[in-house]
Amino acid sequence: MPHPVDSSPSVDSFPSTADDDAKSKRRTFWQFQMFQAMSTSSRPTNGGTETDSIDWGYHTIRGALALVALWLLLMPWTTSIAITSMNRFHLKTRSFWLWAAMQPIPSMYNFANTTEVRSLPPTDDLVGLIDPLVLNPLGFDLDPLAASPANRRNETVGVIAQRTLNHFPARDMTWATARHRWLQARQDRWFIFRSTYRGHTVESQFHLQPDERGGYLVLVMDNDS
Amino acid sequence: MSQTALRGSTVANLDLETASDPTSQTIDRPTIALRIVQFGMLTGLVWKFGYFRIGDRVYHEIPLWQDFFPLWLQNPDVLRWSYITACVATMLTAWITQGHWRTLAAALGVVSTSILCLHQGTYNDMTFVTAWWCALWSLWLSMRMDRDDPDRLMEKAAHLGQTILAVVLLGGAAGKWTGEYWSGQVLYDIYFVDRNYWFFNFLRSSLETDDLRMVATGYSRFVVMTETIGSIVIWTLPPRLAALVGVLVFFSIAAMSNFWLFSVLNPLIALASVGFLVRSQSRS
Repeated sequence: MPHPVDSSPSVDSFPSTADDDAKSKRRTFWQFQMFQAMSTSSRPTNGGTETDSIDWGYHTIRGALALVALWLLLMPWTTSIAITSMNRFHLKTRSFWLWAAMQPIPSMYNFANTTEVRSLPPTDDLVGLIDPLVLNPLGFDLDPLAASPANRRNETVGVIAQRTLNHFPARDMTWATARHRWLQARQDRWFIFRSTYRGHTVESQFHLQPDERGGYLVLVMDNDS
Repeated sequence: MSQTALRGSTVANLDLETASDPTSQTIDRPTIALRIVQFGMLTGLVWKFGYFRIGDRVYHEIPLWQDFFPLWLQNPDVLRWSYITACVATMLTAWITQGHWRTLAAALGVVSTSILCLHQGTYNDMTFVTAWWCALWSLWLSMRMDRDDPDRLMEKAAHLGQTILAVVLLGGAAGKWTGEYWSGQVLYDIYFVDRNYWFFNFLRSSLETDDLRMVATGYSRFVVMTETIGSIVIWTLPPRLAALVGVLVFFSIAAMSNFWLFSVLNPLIALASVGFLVRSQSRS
């Protein structure tokens, strides 16, 4: 049996575009698309051999994938890679473009990430000076925004919610639903993000300050990793 | 060859392996593969359309001024148009048959998904990472479609797809090689405590808390092992078997954990299914 590619039928054996024009209009979209896909194409079918040009795109993508795989395989054993990867989750990479270069690295459900949203700054001595009764004189829920069952309440004064996130904990301040939940009150908010991986921990604190332009200024409260 | 028979063919009627059937000799497998992946990308992009629509409004109403991102990557209009462009680019890539224009559309898909991967409003959504890899694969395939022998091209396309799938699985696995996942604590907190999804609702209604915690440990270890083993073997398997494994693994991940994950996994399911289009004869 001849190889299917070797026995490419001639173009003449297929309906021409002109012949089929009127009938094509009656076809449904998908029938037409499938017809086009099944028709003889103009590409060379050179007896099952590849054209002589080097497929740089193929090798480039495979090279990029090899680099990503190497990075991922080294991550458990190399502290700097683990820390760099967690900093990426916290938007703390020193250079935005270095962070951008890491974005194609798949990182679904990586690390143990927790977030804490606060209505008071995460300063122990300041919290100690505030009487909880002042904040909540009638014993109502301190934060109606934290009504979602996904947000575990915390009895600590000033803490609106704590929760575990699958990846990119910083999204608890930037992502649409979180932004709506925590920031629609137009009041100061503090966020603490914590990621742990094989004994290493990265913690970040952000202060979101209402801005006269209608949004918030994002202020980084620490820079250590 | 009968023109009527050709016109009457549909996807469902195609027997891709019947070499004696003249129709099968003329199937443009790379084009079908490209269209399947565009379909997967498009369904992935629009899967959470409701979220993005809300996001568009919220990002306009509550902007964040953050030094980390360049100003243009904080602009909600850039996000809006990149998202629209990415959706349109997948449709154009599937629709256009002229090589240069199709490649231009595929390149537009790479550029728009790149912006979505970097924008302040969407950087965290893995939908755009999987879409980006599929867009890159599509650009490469489109560039080679008028140059390579179709059968050889399909072999390379399937293998490149398998490698992408393996690295995506490795990305998930490597970040879970830590005690918090092996103990099941992370997935217990995320899913088992209060996630409103049929699988976890069923478990919560059937089990006591201690048993639920034990199931969470088993579930988490199963996920870690599946991703780890999957990343090792999927790119070494023959294309059709890899396609079957890929489709089953990625479909089950979403079906057993989170309906919204299909936005991330639809492009990968489509990319995995490319392996079904590789001729078994050409492989041997």
